[in-house]
Amino acid sequence: MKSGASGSAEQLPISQNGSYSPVVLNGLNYYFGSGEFRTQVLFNNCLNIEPGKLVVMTGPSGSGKTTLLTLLGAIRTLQEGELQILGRDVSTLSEGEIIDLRREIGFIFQMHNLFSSLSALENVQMTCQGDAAEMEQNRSDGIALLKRLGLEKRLNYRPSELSGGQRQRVAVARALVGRPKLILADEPTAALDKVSCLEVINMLKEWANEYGSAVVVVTHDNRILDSADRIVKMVDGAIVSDVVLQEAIQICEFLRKLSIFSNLNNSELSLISEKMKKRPFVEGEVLLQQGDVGEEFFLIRDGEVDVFVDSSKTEILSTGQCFGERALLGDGKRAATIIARKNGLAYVLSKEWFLHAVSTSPNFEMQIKNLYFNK
Amino acid sequence: MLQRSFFLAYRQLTQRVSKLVAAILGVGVSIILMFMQTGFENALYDSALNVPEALNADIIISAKDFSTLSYVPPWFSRDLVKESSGIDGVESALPFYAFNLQIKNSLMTTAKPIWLYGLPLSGVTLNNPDVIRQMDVIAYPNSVLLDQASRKDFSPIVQDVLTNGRSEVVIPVAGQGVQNTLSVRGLFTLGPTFSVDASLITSDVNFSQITSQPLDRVSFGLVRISPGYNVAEIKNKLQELLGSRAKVYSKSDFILSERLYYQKHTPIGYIFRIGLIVGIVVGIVFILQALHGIISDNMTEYAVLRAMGYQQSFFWMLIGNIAAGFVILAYIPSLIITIFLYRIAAESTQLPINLKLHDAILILMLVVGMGAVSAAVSIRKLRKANPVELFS
Repeated sequence: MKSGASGSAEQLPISQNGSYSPVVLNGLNYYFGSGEFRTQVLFNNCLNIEPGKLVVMTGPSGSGKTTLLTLLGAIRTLQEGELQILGRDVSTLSEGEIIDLRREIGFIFQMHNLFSSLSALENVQMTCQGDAAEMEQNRSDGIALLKRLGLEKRLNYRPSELSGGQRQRVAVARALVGRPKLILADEPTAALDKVSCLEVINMLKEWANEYGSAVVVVTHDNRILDSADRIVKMVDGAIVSDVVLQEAIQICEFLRKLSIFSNLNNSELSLISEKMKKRPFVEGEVLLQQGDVGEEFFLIRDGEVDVFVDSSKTEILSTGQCFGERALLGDGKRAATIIARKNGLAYVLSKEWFLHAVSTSPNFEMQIKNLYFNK
Repeated sequence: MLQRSFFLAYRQLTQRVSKLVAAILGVGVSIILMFMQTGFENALYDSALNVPEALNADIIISAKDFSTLSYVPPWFSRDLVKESSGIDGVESALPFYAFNLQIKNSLMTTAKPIWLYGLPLSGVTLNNPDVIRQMDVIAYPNSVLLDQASRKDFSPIVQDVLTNGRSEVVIPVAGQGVQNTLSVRGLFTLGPTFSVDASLITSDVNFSQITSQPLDRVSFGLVRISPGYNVAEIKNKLQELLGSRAKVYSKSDFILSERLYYQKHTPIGYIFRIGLIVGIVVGIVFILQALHGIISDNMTEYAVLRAMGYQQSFFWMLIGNIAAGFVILAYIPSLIITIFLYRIAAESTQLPINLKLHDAILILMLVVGMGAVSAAVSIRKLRKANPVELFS
């Protein structure tokens, strides 16, 4: 299902549920080269990343993931679109302010890029640019982090004396020690074995949960998908899918319990869930009007709605129940009026995607048609 | 921030020892070159100033066309010296004679250039304890004192005097065999100049006989002023009295004039300065090369620092500290080697080649300047440290 990402041009620096968003981007375009050699590599990307989440950004090589990541890290200059990082509008920042902004972001690179002349602990300490007290705090935090990452006996080892996994763990500690609210990781597990890979990604996940940091991981590594809260997929410079996994699972569970979807396999269910958007509603809001042309299918996540047929209240629908499907498959006219009983949230699937799902899943289409033939 | 940059600079500097040693050697050679140029230049001036500084005078009178003691000074009339003694505030006015000769002895294959100085016996004209003590010795006919700091060619004579109390030298004249034999009956210490290997001192009468010059043709008039009188005032009065017949210098002006002559009017000072500049340029090239090496080796790490939000001022401090590290690590051994080389050169040439504190400080400042220039040039290379390239 779609989360903060959308094609809307009215994104806010806060997410839809009202919480602060470390990253808000809207209508973001980016170009390489200039003049006749100017080539667009990012196309109208919109994204809203919430705190405390581990977002995995995936997609084929050359899809623009890393370019987008460097924009999020204020490492590339914003060209077109809106970009807010940690509450600051990047387009209004001076060069010095952009550099200062980077201090509040933790970076993890594929090749760890540790300082070869410094020990593990000294590498971690390089993140601190404050006074003596801050440096002392940074040092004790660094030691604690390295211990947590299993490197308590390697504090004074230089990178050349560490294994690849140990180096990447030092790089993770370096990125985390300042407790940044945004952590950007570029293929952090690409060169790691399975155990090291899980250690690194679990640490990032724990950190996101513990300190509310937003973690964005660009990767091709399927091993870490299980740990993601959200998976953003890019193809040819555009975000083509943005799935909040926990919600997608929840939607699938709701759909599976509905008789009309009960025979769909996981793949079909996840396809539907991925295309659903959140829609909050308030008490008294008319969600459907009897006789109107049907354009959307609704699944209630929270709250209750009243169903009126010819002005008579026929039933109350609540969490896990759906409405609006009949008009999409039948004559196109709404058969009932739906009014919210109290504030709530629904998942909405457009008619286009509803019919697409129907047409690509004969099993699904047949079940639904049988259902309505028998009604 | 400074502490952080110092720490990282130290680590990056010492990380690759072989490269560091090579760079220090290069920079060290340039520093030694600078020290040698400065040392030799000072030796040139100091050796040329041995006699002017030893003159027992507050004011010095010379011929009107005198320019330097590098050549035999033009003579002027002794009457001018006597005339000077009549000025109120003049305590004494004595003549001083100087001439250039060549001498040799039986152990020397060729004649060598020397300065011969003639001193009146009526007063002290040279502040040299050995000379003052042996004024009665030079009163004997053809008796001279030899500078025991003369170049090695004169060592047998010095040794002869030390062993036997005297030695003989001759003044050869082309085509006439031996013209004059001098008896060296004592020693003093003054030191040779760049161009002249030794000095002899004798009485004014002996000087006249040896050089065949009348005593009323003097090289300098040495004026002492009475206590309580102002040197500048007396000097002005003397210049007024003597007019265009002679030049009048205070002693400090005389010394300065001699130094400026070498600095401004001979190619020697210019050559030494060029040598110093070459040393500076060579040093900058070595420091630049070493800095570029370190920057290239650590370019990725600098890009990481940029990604971490380190401002440009940090990079200035970092590269500045690395450059400072280079010059200090190169300066200290270079200074030690210089002291050793100065000693060898001084012993070989008998020139006053000594390490002076102000020269050591001057060269340290120059070397720090070289480091600063190199750092300023190298910092541009850091622009290539682009954090975008850290991402795959």
